[in-house]
Amino acid sequence: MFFLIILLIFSPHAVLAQEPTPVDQFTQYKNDYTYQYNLYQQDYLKYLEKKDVYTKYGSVSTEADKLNTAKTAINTRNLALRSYLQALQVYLDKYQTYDQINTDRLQIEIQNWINWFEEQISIVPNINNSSDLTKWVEDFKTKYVDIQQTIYSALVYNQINQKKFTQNLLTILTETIKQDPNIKPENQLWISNLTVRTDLIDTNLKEAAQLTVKKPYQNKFSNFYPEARNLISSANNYLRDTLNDLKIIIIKSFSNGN
Amino acid sequence: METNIISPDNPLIQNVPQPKIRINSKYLIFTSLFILSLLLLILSTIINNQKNKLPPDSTPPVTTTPIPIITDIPKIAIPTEYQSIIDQINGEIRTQLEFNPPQIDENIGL
Repeated sequence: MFFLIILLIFSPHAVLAQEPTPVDQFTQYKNDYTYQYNLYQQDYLKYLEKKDVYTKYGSVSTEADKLNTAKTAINTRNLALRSYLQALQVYLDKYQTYDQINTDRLQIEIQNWINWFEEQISIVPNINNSSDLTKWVEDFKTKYVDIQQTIYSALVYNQINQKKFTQNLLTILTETIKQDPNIKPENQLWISNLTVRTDLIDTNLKEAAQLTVKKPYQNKFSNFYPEARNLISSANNYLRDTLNDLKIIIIKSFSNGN
Repeated sequence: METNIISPDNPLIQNVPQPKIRINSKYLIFTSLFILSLLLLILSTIINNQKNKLPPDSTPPVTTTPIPIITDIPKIAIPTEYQSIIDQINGEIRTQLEFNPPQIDENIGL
């Protein structure tokens, strides 16, 4: 009897122990990124403090303090950006099949930037003077225009791919309805009108994709993301309207007992 | 000397049976009803006087109408074969894919 009680108490724990909670790769990278970003914020505040002291006194020792804290802040910033890019690369996986070519291109670009940051993580701590650091920062600022271009393009394409996936589901639903003998003929005509909305969705998504194309000789990042998001949001509204129309067709055909 | 001794046998000091007062029940009912009606009359007069003193009530009387409780919400007739794909599409439409990049200072070190 005693043994039975003990068994009952511990058996659920034993079952739980056998099933580890699955953590997907994106969550792992995202957690790493959050951790690194918090470190960066702490190091950045320390850097600002030392920078203020150097501006006030301008001594050799305060300059050295500023250089060291700058290098530390840059390094944690590089680690945070690398972690972000790693998470972003995996983030694109879910809907990649809806635009494999562009998704692959962006994932390769992201990988190149991850590699670049990994190199910098070993280079920056070895910088010994302010002029070398200034040179590095100027180079980084030029590169960061392209890094942002890649990041926001990836975010836009991920959303476009997700909308294409949703559109594909709607097409499957429309085709199923078309073949359903319970759908009345007048409703079948209504279905054909849905193609107009499909064209509007395609147009919005194409325009959003077009915004990600970098203009030649662009040396400053122009943030296209808000505009692209508006276009994707409009496409999403058309998707919602289409679904609502299809639901009405289904309800009308089935609720009146035909 | 002559003394007055009252003898216990004297009929004057003996317990004379008192005549019983008999209350007429009809009289009692009538009286009580009369008092009651009088009281009611006074009470109604007072209430009427109080009512006349109050300003005319402009607000409509508050009536509590019970909120109808819908116990049986009519279900939208969507066949089960369509419901799963509709739920999936709904989920995708509501999904907000947001993973914004970190806000950084590009000028660290300058």
